[in-house]
Amino acid sequence: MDGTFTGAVDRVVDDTTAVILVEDGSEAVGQVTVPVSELPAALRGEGSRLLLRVSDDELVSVEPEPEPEQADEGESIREKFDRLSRRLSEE
Amino acid sequence: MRGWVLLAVVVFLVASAGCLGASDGIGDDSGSDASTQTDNGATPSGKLEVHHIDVGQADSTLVVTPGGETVLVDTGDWRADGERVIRYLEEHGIERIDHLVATHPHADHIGGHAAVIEHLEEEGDGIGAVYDSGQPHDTQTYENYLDAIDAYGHELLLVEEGDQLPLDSEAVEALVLNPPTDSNGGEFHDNSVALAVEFGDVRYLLTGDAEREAESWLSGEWSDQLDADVYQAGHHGSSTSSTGSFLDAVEPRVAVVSSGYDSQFGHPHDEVLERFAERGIETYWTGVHGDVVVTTDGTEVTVNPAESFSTDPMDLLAEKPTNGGVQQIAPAGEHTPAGGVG
Repeated sequence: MDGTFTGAVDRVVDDTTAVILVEDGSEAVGQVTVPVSELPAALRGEGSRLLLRVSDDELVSVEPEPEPEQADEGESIREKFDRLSRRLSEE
Repeated sequence: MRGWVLLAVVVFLVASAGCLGASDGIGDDSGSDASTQTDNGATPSGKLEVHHIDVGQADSTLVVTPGGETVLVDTGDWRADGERVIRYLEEHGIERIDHLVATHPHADHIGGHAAVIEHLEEEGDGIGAVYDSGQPHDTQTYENYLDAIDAYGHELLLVEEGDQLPLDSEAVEALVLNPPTDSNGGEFHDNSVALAVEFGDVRYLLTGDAEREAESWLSGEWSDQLDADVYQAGHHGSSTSSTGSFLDAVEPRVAVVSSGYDSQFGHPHDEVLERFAERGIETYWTGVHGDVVVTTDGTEVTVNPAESFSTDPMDLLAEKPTNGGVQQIAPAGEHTPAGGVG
């Protein structure tokens, strides 16, 4: 597989291994695990959004995902979460 | 080759009411329906089941109350898209999940949520309520979970320490021990939903991927509620969790580890199995035992693994593949952004 994908650091396991989800714009389509130390320091946090370049199924570069050009791309995850959630204790 | 060892179903007897986890004597009880008075004087009837579904390097735990009420905690890894969990539910005739819990938003815990919700809503009797640790994650797996909740008109009920899952069953309590009220987001693992499920004199403890800091907090905050007969090992048996001091607080007779046989992270870690061994804890690992079903009548606990194997933690340690934990850029079989990861 070749191309450029977006993705995110889903988790950092045992303080050493970053599990990166590769996404196609609607769902995860692949997973990459890399030593967290090999990621740029600014991208090591869980939830970091990434731009991934892949060649022959090899990850060749990781960069920050560019900010969307338009701010009106729809409801963000945080907005959905806020709209759908409430405390159980508030029942 | 796996060195299978024939192992009979393990049954043990809780010593007495009010003495949870203090039983001695893993024995050969016949599994009779002996019952004891609970603290509130009620006599429990029926059986509580906890099914640790073998979902590989992930978690999915199904609780079925004596009255048939269902609690599903986590749904496996995103790559399975809920298929294993859905098949398991179908095999057991379960068409509705009354309480669906996400311990935390990582894709090896909520990976099947969207598919399970859709399946049960479209082909079964639906979902009753959805509970969450309250930490949104910036992945499409998490967003798809939210979208499924939205599509079927559910709310995301955020739980915190001290909450009780509103079970219909009066005989079963599911107390939320974690996340702390003042967590304010932050670390996903340590804010995992932790549940203490109690039926009669038996308590079952599940901590998601809570690590040592959360375990330390739990030990201080919930010292009276941690003593459990059965413990699902935190974070798939990683050494980040199941610290010695935490195990001394929980004092489990039985531990269940949910992780893949060939876990790339080397789960369960040797240190954890050694801690279990030092404490004489009967240990089950989905990687070799497959699905592990714990059943209790409120007094006795029976464990039925799908596959027979020793429950000696040191035998499990010896059985672990030696290639676990290999970590490199694009390790073979893992780095397949093209979607080949199944």
